[in-house]
Amino acid sequence: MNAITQGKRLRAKSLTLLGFTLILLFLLDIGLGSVRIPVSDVIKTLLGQQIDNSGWQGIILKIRLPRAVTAILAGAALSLGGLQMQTLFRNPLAGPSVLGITAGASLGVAAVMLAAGTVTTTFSIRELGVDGSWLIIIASTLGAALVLMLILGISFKIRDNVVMLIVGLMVANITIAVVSIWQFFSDPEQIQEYILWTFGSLGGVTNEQLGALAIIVLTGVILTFFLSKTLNALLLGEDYAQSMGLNVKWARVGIIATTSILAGAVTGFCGPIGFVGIAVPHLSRSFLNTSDHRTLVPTCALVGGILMLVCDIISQVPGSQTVLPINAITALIGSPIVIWIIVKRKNLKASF
Amino acid sequence: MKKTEKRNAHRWAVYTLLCFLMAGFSACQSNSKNQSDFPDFDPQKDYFPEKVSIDHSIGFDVEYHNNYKTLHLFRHYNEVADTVSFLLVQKGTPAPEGIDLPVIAVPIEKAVSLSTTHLAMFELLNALGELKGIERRQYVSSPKVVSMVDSGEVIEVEPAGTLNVETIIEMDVDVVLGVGYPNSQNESFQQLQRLNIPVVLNADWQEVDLLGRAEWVKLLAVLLNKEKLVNEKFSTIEAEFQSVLDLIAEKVIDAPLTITGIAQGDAWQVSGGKSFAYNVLKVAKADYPWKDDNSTGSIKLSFEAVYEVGLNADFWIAPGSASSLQNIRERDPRYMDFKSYKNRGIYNVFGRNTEGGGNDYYETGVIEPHIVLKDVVKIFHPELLPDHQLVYYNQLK
Repeated sequence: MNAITQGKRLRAKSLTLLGFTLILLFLLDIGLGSVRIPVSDVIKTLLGQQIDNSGWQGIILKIRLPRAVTAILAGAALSLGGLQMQTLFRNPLAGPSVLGITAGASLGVAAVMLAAGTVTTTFSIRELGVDGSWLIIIASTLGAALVLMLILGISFKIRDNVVMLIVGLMVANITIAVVSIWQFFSDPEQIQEYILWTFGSLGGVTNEQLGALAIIVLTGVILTFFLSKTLNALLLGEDYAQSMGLNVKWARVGIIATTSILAGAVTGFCGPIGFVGIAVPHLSRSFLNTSDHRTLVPTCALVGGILMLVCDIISQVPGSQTVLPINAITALIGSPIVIWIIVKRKNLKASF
Repeated sequence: MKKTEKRNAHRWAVYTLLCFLMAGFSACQSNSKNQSDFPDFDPQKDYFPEKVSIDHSIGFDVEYHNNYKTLHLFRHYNEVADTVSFLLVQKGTPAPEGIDLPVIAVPIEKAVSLSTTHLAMFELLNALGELKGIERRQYVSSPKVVSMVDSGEVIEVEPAGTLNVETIIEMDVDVVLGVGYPNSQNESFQQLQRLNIPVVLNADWQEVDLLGRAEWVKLLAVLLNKEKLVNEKFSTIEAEFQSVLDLIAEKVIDAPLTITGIAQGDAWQVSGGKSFAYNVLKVAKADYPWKDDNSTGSIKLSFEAVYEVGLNADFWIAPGSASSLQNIRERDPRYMDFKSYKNRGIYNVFGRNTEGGGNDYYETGVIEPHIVLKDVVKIFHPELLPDHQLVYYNQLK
């Protein structure tokens, strides 16, 4: 009894600490950037007051604020996706991209960026009144959805999770192969555009798109919360979960669908951002020394947001005029942290 | 002991055979250099009375000798600037002895061009008859060249994006005019060189100004022995260009602020302060936030760094592939905050692009630097050229 209350207190304490860190980094991310803006003006703008320099106001409200919010949403979504995949497959190497969702999104984007070079397709797509950034988002969502349907269809037929994992990896490989054939027959400019997309970008999400991204990610987060108990049961093994009265098949469908929504949306809006989905669940488990998903789900969301904010601050190289690709920073900064924590805590094995 | 003898005998046979082979080769070589093969050759005669001088281009130079010219191509785009040279020897005369350089017999009669930037040059020098192969019809703007491809006079040598070496060998051309980028198509180019098809790498894109890029027409003229014609044509271009420059120097007082490029992902690529693209704007007197930068290519900046100056810039030139205001808006609604967006001050180089992705700016525009300059002047200082209509540039609507 005592242990449980103690655990609850620890949980509340660490969640508060993480929430506080998240807010701090969020403000820091808005305050720092290529253009040096005085702190007082940043605060005034955030409080809704007018400042003399309308350019700075635009930079804060239209560039930095949406980017920082996107960073939190993307970090949380990818981390929760990774957590679910690791638990479902009971495999520490699984991540949100493991089922080919990201590859599917890439296929959709490749279809637009590489094939659109042939004039007819571009014009026919423009006829529909969709263009620019929304076109990329819709294409990648459709690509992700296509692969998701395929995976879900297969998951109804297959009982074994390990087989499911291998099938997912294979579907991802097939999708990547199609993209690479497409690349081979494309012009250098088109390939360059596609490669730039694969670097990932948090700054491309504008205020109007942010609303759509937020709704999708929050839906996914809420669904994950509801799945917490299911995930806990699955951790004990499928047979045990079944004996507890869990419908394993439907649980699996629910988990795959939720992960796909989370990963698909983020990939659509920000490009394929790697690493976060694999690393954050490990960080969270080590940090709290628990594998209870009722604790892990909120922790993962917070840690994911924190990690993405840190990476975004670094990728903006405050004080300089240049930027670094976010996708490289996540792995470059994140990997040493994960190695350090896992080696230090040595409690990874207990989680699986 | 016996074994060694046997081996020695064997060796001896091999050496003898080698000697014979070598003797045969050297015999062939000395034959080809025999002066009696060229009965009409007069070593004292200047075979090229008309000469060109290269005044603007940094990428190549020509030296004249009695019956041959030496062409030097300077590759500034490699880490170490190195030089590639060719001997252009007058047909019917012997190549000079003792110079170990690839030889091209001039005037050339069959050429393959791998860049649309050469096509207008062929047309300017009345040499479309010598053009036998192009990269891809899709990118060509010139109706003449397109119809030549359709009639089979000109062959596409890169129909699928990679150079078809076998087609070129079969065509038996005198020279391939390639494009010199760092590591571009090196494999296929080397293959062609090994088969004695000289590949002259044109690198007009590394030039620093409009006239430098246009002057590459002289390279083609040197290959065609059309020095007289090119001197006439190019001096007209030079004079026209100078008259626009004079007009600018005389009339322009204030320089409007302009930005370039467009954001891709999180980064915004703008033209560097020493780049060709900025030079075009600079000669037409435009103010530029990155004019003190030292890069000859483009520089990557963060979105907000460009956004800050973009808000108040009068003009926005060459926003990537965007060709309409709707394009700009859909890429990112934040562009709508820009002064240039509100005042319709956004221009791109799609005045004459084709549906297939070709653009005459990179074709005829190369040999019409005075028109390009007039376009830019018309954008920044419309009062200077009231009657000029934009040709290569277009206002985004």
